[in-house]
Amino acid sequence: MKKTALTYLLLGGILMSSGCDLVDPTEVTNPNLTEEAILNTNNPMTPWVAGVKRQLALTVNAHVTFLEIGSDNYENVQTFYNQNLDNLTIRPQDADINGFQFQLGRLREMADYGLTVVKNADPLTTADQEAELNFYKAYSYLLSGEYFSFLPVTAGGEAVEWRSILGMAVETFRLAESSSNTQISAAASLGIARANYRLGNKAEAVQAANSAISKAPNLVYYAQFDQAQGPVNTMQTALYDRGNFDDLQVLPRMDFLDPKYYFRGASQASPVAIFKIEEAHLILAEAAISDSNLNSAKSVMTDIVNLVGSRERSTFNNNQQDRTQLNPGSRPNNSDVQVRFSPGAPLIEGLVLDRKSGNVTVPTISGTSVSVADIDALNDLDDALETLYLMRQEIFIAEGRRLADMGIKLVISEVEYLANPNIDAGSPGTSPVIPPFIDSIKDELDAFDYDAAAGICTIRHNINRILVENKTSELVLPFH
Amino acid sequence: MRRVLLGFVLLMMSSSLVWAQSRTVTGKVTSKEDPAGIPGLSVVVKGTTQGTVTDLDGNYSLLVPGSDAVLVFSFVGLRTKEVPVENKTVINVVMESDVKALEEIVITGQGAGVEKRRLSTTVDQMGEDKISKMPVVQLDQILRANMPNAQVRLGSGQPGTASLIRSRGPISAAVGTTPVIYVDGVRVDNLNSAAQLSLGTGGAQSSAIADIPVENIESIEYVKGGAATTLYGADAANGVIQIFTKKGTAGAARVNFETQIGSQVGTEDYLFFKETADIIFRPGLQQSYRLGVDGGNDKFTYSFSGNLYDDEGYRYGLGQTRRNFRGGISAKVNDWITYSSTAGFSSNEFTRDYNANSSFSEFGNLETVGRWGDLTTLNRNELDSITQRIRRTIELTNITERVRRFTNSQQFDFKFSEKVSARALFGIDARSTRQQDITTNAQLIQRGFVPEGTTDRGTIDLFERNFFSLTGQIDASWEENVGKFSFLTIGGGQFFRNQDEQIQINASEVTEGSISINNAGEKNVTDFLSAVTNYGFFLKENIGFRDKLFAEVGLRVDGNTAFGNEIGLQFFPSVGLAYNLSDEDFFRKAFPNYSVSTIKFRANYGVAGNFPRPFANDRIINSNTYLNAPSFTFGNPGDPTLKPERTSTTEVGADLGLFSDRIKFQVTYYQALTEDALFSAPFAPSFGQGNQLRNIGEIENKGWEIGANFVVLETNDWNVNVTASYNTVQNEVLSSGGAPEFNVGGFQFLGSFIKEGQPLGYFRGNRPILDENNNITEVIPNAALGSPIAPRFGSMSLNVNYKGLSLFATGDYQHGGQTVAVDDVLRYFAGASTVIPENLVGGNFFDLAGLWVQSSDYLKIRNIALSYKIPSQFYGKAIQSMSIGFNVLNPINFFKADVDPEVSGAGFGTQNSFGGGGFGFGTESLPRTYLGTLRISF
Repeated sequence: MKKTALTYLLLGGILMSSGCDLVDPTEVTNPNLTEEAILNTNNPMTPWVAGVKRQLALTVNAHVTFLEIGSDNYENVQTFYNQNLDNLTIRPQDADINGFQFQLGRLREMADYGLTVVKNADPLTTADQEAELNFYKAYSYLLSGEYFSFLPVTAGGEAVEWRSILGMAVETFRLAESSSNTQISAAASLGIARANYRLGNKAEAVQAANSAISKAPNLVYYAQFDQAQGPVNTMQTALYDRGNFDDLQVLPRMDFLDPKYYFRGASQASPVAIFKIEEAHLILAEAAISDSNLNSAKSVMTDIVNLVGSRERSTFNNNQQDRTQLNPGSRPNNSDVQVRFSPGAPLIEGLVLDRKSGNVTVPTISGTSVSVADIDALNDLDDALETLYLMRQEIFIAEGRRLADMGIKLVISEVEYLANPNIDAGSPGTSPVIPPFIDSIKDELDAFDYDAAAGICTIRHNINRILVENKTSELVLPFH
Repeated sequence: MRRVLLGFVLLMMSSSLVWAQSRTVTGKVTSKEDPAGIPGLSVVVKGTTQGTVTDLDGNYSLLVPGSDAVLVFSFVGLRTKEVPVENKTVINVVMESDVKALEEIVITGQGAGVEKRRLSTTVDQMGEDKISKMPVVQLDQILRANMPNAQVRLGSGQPGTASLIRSRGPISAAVGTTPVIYVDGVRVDNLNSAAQLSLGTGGAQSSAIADIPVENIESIEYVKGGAATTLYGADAANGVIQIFTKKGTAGAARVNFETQIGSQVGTEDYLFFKETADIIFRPGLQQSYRLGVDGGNDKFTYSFSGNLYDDEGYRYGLGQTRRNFRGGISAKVNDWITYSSTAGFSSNEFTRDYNANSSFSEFGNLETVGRWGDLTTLNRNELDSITQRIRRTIELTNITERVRRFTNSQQFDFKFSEKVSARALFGIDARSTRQQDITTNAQLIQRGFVPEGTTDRGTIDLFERNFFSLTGQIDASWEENVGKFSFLTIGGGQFFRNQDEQIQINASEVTEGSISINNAGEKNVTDFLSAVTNYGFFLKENIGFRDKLFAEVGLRVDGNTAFGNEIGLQFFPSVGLAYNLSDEDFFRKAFPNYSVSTIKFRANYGVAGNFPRPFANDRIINSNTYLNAPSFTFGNPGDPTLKPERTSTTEVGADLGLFSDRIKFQVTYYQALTEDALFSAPFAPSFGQGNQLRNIGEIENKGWEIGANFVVLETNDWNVNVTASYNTVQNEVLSSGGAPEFNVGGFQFLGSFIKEGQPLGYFRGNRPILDENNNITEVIPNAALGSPIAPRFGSMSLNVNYKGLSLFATGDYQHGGQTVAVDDVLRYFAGASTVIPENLVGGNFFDLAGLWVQSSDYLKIRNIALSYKIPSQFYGKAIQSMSIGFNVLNPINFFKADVDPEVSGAGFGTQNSFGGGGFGFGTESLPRTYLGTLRISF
């Protein structure tokens, strides 16, 4: 018996060993593409540049919504988006601030990786591709310098002061100005104008603004989203797609500008403009005011109104938008409402739309309530400056720009200083910068009083007036 | 009716009974312990399929073919007896105890079963008697409150959803706490959280545990971790659940039929508004039909069971149909080879509704006030209007899931001699699941989410996952006695290959009315693939001295194809010592059996592991479609030094029996240290790189496991048994290697995080410090607010038998942990919070986070089962036994929080991640279920 058993075992063993290939369970299936595999593909630079452009969209998503909440533009009335910024509570522990820094770092590092590793691996790399990567890298510097007083601008590096970072932005934008793509070249010039504007370098800013205007007089450079494959536009989700979940509520005096982004179909997303030529004119006008040249400023401001008037508007149904369903009657919600910009200011009509009766028409690039007649009537530099800042606010609404105009700078995130040996909790840049004249009213930035029966809404504070009143502060209005 | 039944029974038995020129032999089977007769004992004519089992009084009656027949009497725990028939017509038999067989055998580790007395580790077991008292629907429900040292929390009352199963606390931040699961020696899919890809329908996440075929289970073993799991390989550190299914017992065919009918009723215990129940709950019919047959002879046995189950759920929008079949056979090929095979198939289909973190969750919307307002202030007409709108919305909601699963095990047992045996085993688990969510424009308009007249917002989301697992194992055992020493050697090799293929399609701008993604304007497709083989070799030596003192040494060596030589082979050792003091003569003389009946001391040390996610060490570039072209981005940053995390467990314990084991205690203290713990901690954001799994953590779990069993009353008619357990878990992240903390669940304002000095998944958020007038004096940002891991938990049961009447009740509890009342956060927004002081309404809710963290203490009675064995005089001889039963599931709940502390709408983690749960958010609790059962055996 035992002999038979042994024979069976032996036979079984032989059969098994010869058939092992047929039943081999150790085949390795790795669905990932390693760095080495990617760099060995033909012309990896093209998809790499596309990837950095996609990263630009992610970077826009990472800051626009919560910075709009932080400003007087929008109030967050639900749970979904950042609550701290609404009262300008700016802490290193804030996940959105950390996320913003992460996407900025990733945009810069991806551009750098393209300019070094991918370029070395791909002989087909073109000068335009290099210029485009430099443009994205410069944009990362630009936002870093605009929104942080100190921030590391290399992986795990020391925190650099914002002026130096903006200087790096200028230098890097210059490398992108050579692009044969007019959009990128003009946007790079505008980027230089903006960086110099923030630095208070009036002459350089004006020069770059003029350069941008001459290259592309109708420039709009968008961060593009992909409605079908992602990333989708977070601000579009917040303002429109979340339907009756009314997260973000606009300051009533800018109701007519909301929502800048809306659902355009399954394959088309609303893009976010990150550079548009209006900004160049706004810089020129502000430079003229700071030079006490009112007539020149008025002339530029008239050009802006005309330019804005020529920009695209969209008409769509927005009747699922309530103001607001959690507390009906608490916010202006019809065109009969008149708005005061501050207590005692004149009542202005036509700023609030009817959303429950038919379609609404909303500017999707730039809009303003300021008319040519309003500009003609200006005869005081400070009034002109206030009107200019109102235009700035209205033109840039929902683009994440306002907080920088209010002189506010965020902080280095806790994760950065915990994981970066060059920075610790007490390092410069770990406390926020909030101008005292904003800090004193930070809980009331979005506040207003509304008499629904009388149809009168009074905004508590005219922030533009407050900024002008404090124009000599080094934190705001850099040309003054 | 009785005739029909009889006819059916005759038909079923005709294949196995011989009606030839035979004669009837009758008799009574007794033993010293059961002089009144042994019921259920098998009597078989040797070498044939003819046989029967004894009745309640131990009597049998059997047709035998002739006088040369030999009757074989067998029963678990008794020595098998063979009696020649000769010319006798009455054969009474007195059986004797088989002392060795009476020793509880566990399969622990690999290979042959081992007597419990030889082991230095503990294993919880659940036998058929206990399982039969639970309405068998899904595995986690069976285990809940029935395993003394394990905790099972079901995350949602919706069908097929995930549960949290844990025993000694979470040992890893990289995986969940669910043990690995074997069915008849074959590894099965134990994914108990969202898959890598899956549909977002709020909080309810599908679980592979919910559809493990649970038909025909003979017993379940729960190995809790530590040294006991060492031999199971590199991913068994969370423990092992072994399920053994029936392969039949010798004897004439026995047919069992069971029908269960009852009703599911939504539990209102946790509701904020009573009106929510009126609007959304409705009782649903639950019905189940089960047919089983088993039998065989001394060479071949078989068992089959099939079950059809259907329930309508306890609320609108839910429902589930299950079809389960399982068969098992065992055949003696020859004197030294036995072949056995089991196969199970389950098909589950269910519908769900949105819940938890979704603005489409109608249950959540009702309970959180914002959407529909304060329901208590609404009049009848307003409530009716809301009711109609919501029910219409649910009607238009179309979330379905279908799971089909086949498990199979093939086993050859070789018995070369009394001392040497071997086993070869292979089997598969094939599970395919398909989730679909069809959102029509009509549904969105009904929700008020898009304007009237919208035609371009319809979507279909589709998710398919195919999981295939192949297990193969060969092992051998050798038992040898040399003088006062006994040796048990087990060695072998094992591999299991898991292939996980997932695909998700999101189709948008779908033409109204379409159920096919073909009719979509845009489609977005993502897939996921993982195919990896784990293989290992194990050797275990158990040495006995004078059959009282046992020492164990074991080693498992493991490899993984995803890492190959980069990680190489991993070694997991174990050692243990067991001493059965009460078996010593000197002890027995000092303490007679009626005083201290059992004392056993145990101590062991073992290492178990957990491999990183496959290919987590590679530096990866990801490719995405962006604006109709490929685009590259940084993927996994890569770590060439990545290796498995290792958990070393030391445990000491004792088993104590008093008064002839009428009172039994099992006490264990354990300390488990996970080194090189895999943390997915972030890099500084300036690196711009995603998180990378790194071996930088250290996690400690320590605590006590105490189980007790009391035989309160034991007479001929009465048997009253009470069990209780108390377990402690002290969990702490000892080190995070200097890395910042990271999120593993929850929300931005209040999340579940991993941080040095805190328990895994601790709740982090801002803590407001209030003065006596409830004004905020200070806000502590990112404070430690609590832990989802309750540091104390346990279960209890009561079993009362009086003649044929039986009452069985189980319950469990936890104490000392926390949960987050997320529902109230949303109520706060609507000005209806019952947690936040009135003067703080309108403030920044981020700063109020700490106030929503509440005690998660609960005590829940899970199951009360009453059954009655109807005496035979009521139904005659055609039927062997008949019983009726009544069950109430989830009847009584005691809890402190403003939510059900067991459910969690967020924080369950996904595949290859840790989740602690603990976010009570718009999630329905398990329903109260009333069931009537009729069981008939032929």
